[in-house]
Amino acid sequence: MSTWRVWSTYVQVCVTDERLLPRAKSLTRRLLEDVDRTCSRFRDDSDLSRLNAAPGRWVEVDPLLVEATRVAVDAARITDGLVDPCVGRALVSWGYDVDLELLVRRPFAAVPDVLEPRPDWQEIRWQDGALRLPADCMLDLGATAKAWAADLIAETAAAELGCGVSISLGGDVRVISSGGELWPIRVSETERSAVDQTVGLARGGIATSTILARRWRTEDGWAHHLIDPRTGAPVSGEVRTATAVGDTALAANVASTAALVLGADAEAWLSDRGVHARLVLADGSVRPVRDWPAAPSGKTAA
Amino acid sequence: MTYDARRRDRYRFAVAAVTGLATCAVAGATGAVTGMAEAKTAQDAAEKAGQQAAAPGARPRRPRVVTKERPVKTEVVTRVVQVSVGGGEVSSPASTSTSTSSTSSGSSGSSGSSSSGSSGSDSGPGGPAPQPAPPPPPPPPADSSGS
Repeated sequence: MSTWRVWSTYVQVCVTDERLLPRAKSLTRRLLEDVDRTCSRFRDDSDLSRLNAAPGRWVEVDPLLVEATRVAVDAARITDGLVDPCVGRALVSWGYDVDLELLVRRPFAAVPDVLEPRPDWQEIRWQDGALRLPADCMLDLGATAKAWAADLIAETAAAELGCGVSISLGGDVRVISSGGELWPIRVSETERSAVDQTVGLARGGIATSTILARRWRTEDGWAHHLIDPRTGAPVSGEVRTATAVGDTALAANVASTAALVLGADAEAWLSDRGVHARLVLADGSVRPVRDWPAAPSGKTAA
Repeated sequence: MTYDARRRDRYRFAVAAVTGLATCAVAGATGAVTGMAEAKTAQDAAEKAGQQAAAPGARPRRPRVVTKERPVKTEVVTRVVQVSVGGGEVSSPASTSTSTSSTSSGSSGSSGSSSSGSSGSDSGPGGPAPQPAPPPPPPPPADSSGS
C-alpha cells in the first residue's frame, strides 16, 4: 500500500500484485491531477473556476468536468436534491472559499444571512465538452467529486493493470477484487480519531461523511462543509457521522452525505433504499442500518 | 547585532529580488537560445523548400495551420459511473478474519502467521502430498474516515 496527501486529505492505493504498485501510484497521481485541474473550486486556472465565472452562458470545458457535473446532477436527482452541487455560493458565504488548510488559519468567519435556496441543479445543461449553469449558480463538486475520482481511479487501474485494486480517497473507498479478496476497511469518524470498527468489503464502495472534519470557526461556533440545500446552512448534526456501503464509492458517498442532511430521518431513508450503513448520532451512540455488521465491542445503541 | 523582524524582511526581499532577477535572466536566455534555434530551423526549412520548389516539376507546398483552442486537454478516458444508492457487500470483522483463515484452512498452513495452521499434520501416512501454492496474504486495511 502507498499513502500520500492530496486535497487536504489522504490517498491510499493498494493492489493485489505488489509489483504493479508503482504503476498504480503513477496512474493515481495523474488522474488526481486531471481531476484537480478541471474540477477544483480553489484553482483560478481550473475549468470549474472558468465555468463558475460565467453562469448562464455555455462554457467550453474539459470532458472530465462534464462527466463530474453529470454525476453530481444525477446524485441530486436520486436524492431529490439532498445532495446538491449548487451549494457553492452558500459555502462561500460561510467562508469556505479557499482550500481548508488556508481557511483554518483565518480569523473567525462572520455568520452570513442565509438566503432562500433554489433548486438550481435541475437547470444545469451539458453537451460534449461544454456546460451551462443557471444564472447565479455556483457549482461545488465537493460532495461527489472525491468519491467519483476514487471510482475512476479504481476502475482505470483494474482495467490497465489487471489486478485487484483498493483506493481510499479521504475515506471514500472503492475496491475491485481480482480473486475474491475480502478487503479490510477501518471505519472511524475522522482521520485523527480511533478506529471504531473494521469491516470486510468484498466488492463496491464504502464512504464516511462527518461534520467533525473539514470545519472552521465562525463568530457563532463551528461551521463545516456539509450544507443542507434546504436551508443554505451547514447541516444540523443530529447524525454527526455516517458510513454507508454501495455498488461504488460514489453510491456509498451519496448515501452517507444524504444521511447527514436528513438527520433524524436518515435511518428510514437508508433502510428503504437497501443501504447498509452505520450512523453516529449527536450523542455518540451508534445505529446500524440493515445488514451493517455488529460491532464486537457492543457500541451499538439500543 | 540582533536579527530582528525588519532585518529578516529585508533579507527576504533581497532573496526574492535576486531569485526573480535570476529567473528572468534564465528565462530570457532560454528564450533567446530557443529563438535562435527556431530561427535556424526555420531558415534551414526555407532553404530546403526553396531548393525543392526550384527543382523542375516540383509543386509548391502549402504551410499547414494548426488551430489549438485550449492549451491543455485531458487524455484520460472518462469512465461512466452510474449513480445509485445501495449495493455493495459488507461483512463483519469476524468474517474478515474467518474468511482469510478459512481460505487458508485447506492449504498446508505453511504461512508462519497462520494461527490455526498445523503444518505437516494433514500429510497422511502415504508421504508428503504435493503442496499447493500458499494463499496470498490478505490485503492491508484501508481507511474510511470522515473528511
